[in-house]
Amino acid sequence: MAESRGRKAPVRVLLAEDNADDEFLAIWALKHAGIEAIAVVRDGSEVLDRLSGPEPFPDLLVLDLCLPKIDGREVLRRVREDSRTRKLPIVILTSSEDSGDKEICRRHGIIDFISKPLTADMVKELLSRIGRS
Amino acid sequence: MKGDPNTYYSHLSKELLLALVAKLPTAAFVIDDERIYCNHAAEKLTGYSNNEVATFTEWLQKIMEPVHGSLRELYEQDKAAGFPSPRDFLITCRDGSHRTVEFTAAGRDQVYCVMHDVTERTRAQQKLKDSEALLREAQRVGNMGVFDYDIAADCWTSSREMDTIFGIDASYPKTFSSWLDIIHPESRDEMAEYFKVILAAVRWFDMEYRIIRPCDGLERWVYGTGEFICDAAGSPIRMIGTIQDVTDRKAAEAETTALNQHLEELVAERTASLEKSNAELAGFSYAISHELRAPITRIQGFSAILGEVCKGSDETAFMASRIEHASRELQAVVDSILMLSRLSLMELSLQTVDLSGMAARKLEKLLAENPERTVEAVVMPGIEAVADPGLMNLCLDNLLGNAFKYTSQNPAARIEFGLLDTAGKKVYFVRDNGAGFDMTYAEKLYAPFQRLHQHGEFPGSGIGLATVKRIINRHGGEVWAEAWVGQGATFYFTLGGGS
Repeated sequence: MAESRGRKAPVRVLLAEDNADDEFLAIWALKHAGIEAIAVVRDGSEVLDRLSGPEPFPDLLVLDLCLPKIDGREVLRRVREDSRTRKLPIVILTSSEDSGDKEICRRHGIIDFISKPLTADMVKELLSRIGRS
Repeated sequence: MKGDPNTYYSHLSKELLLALVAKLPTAAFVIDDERIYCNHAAEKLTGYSNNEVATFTEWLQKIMEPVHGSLRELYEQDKAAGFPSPRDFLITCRDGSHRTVEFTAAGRDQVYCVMHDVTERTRAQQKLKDSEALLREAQRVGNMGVFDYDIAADCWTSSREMDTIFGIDASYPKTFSSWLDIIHPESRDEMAEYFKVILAAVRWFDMEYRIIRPCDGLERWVYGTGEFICDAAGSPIRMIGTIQDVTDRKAAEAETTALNQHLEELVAERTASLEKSNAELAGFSYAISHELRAPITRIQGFSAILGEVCKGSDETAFMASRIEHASRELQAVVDSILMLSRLSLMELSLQTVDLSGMAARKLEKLLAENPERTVEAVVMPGIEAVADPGLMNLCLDNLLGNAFKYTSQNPAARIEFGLLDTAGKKVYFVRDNGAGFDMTYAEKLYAPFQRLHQHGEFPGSGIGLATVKRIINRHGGEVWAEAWVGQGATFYFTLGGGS
């Protein structure tokens, strides 16, 4: 459908990841799923700053739960409290399987809770779920 | 002197008296100077005829058993005194048997003597004496005294042993209140109340209580028993009973109790420290596996990318795929440790669980996922338990999953879930007719990552039964198995006191 209206708008992703290796792997997967517009932040407060700043609003937030300064759980809570970001599609990226974390994330209406490493196939599947494939 | 039989006879003729003695049905004899005449009953008693014992000397020698001193002198003394009272003597009968005979004599010139065989009476008296002595001895040896309390007169009598136990003497007043005075002040009111209650109910006295001995002020423990004796109307009039000094036993009991308590404290202490170190260990396992996960996922991520990048080079791509494979295995192990440590750390949420329903659903799911398999699934209906539903689900998942897995090579597979009630204890079981195992290695079953089958034969993480054991143990139960190679296995489990 989007094709018929002309050039498809690029999908903008905000990646919140403090580990360089994990950042590399996530970017690799995003790029191989065709996403070029990737902005990276490395702690919780940067996420919140970015979302309230002048930059274009992302289509998807890929959020690591273990972030410095303000951790991912708190970021999630604040993002959901803010009316502008309440409906922002969010994917949680984690290396743990903590059931408590899963529960918190579910309560905050996230799209998925993904165990690292993120792969291109996973990203493609996510994009289809938010209608941006 | 008309009443004196010794002189009274002298008025009668000797012949008349002899005739009288002869007719007497009682054993009797006459001593006339040195001659002796026995009547028929006397001959029968001694076994000797008048011909055999004709003189008093012969009588004394043949029949009378010797006594201390001279029998004849004793006779002469008694005769001179007018035979003031009967005397008992032991005689020897003609057949050699001995009898005790009471001799009642009278007379002056001739002596008339009646014999009463009192052997049985003497024996009975001796027996009574013996048993009384035995009773006294038993009371002394058993530290037991006896008492008799007259309720209306408010007066009790007691055996010597009882006085010794109570530390009182004969001058001690023996009333209800004086009994209370002996009792330890801390128990006095309680004992007074106790007596009131058993008196009202006419019940046995059966109580251990402390006394303070008046003689030396020492505290002793006594055990008292007693029974009410009632009048015709059923009202208690007396109580008879026993008192035993149980101070030594009480001391031993107290020592045992103290020892047990100390032991229990020690066990509780050790258990607590063991639980603490177990929790620490579980916490450590949890932390370490949690920390390991992040680097493992990176190895996985990079090796996957490497495999893709090196698609052209067979060897490099192969190595990258092996790195990825190994890291996945590593992750599986870490995840397993993580899960086991979680099982140890998590709180149980106990509720009634429908185990039959759980097992049936699990088996249905396994069959749906493996349509090529034919398995006869038998689930006993209505099995419930008080347990953590999540954990029981995981437990049955593992046990039924194993049964399903190990029956894969049996075309007539059968899996059963049931309940045995042995001696009031509920024993749940999962039985299959699959590959089974050698019971020699049964101990290894529950250790994490131990396998009884080769890796390729039956796939699995190697922690299924370790998980089951941890879940069952968390519920205070036990798990054990019975199996034969090639003939299947049965896993039994209990769920502790809660179920």
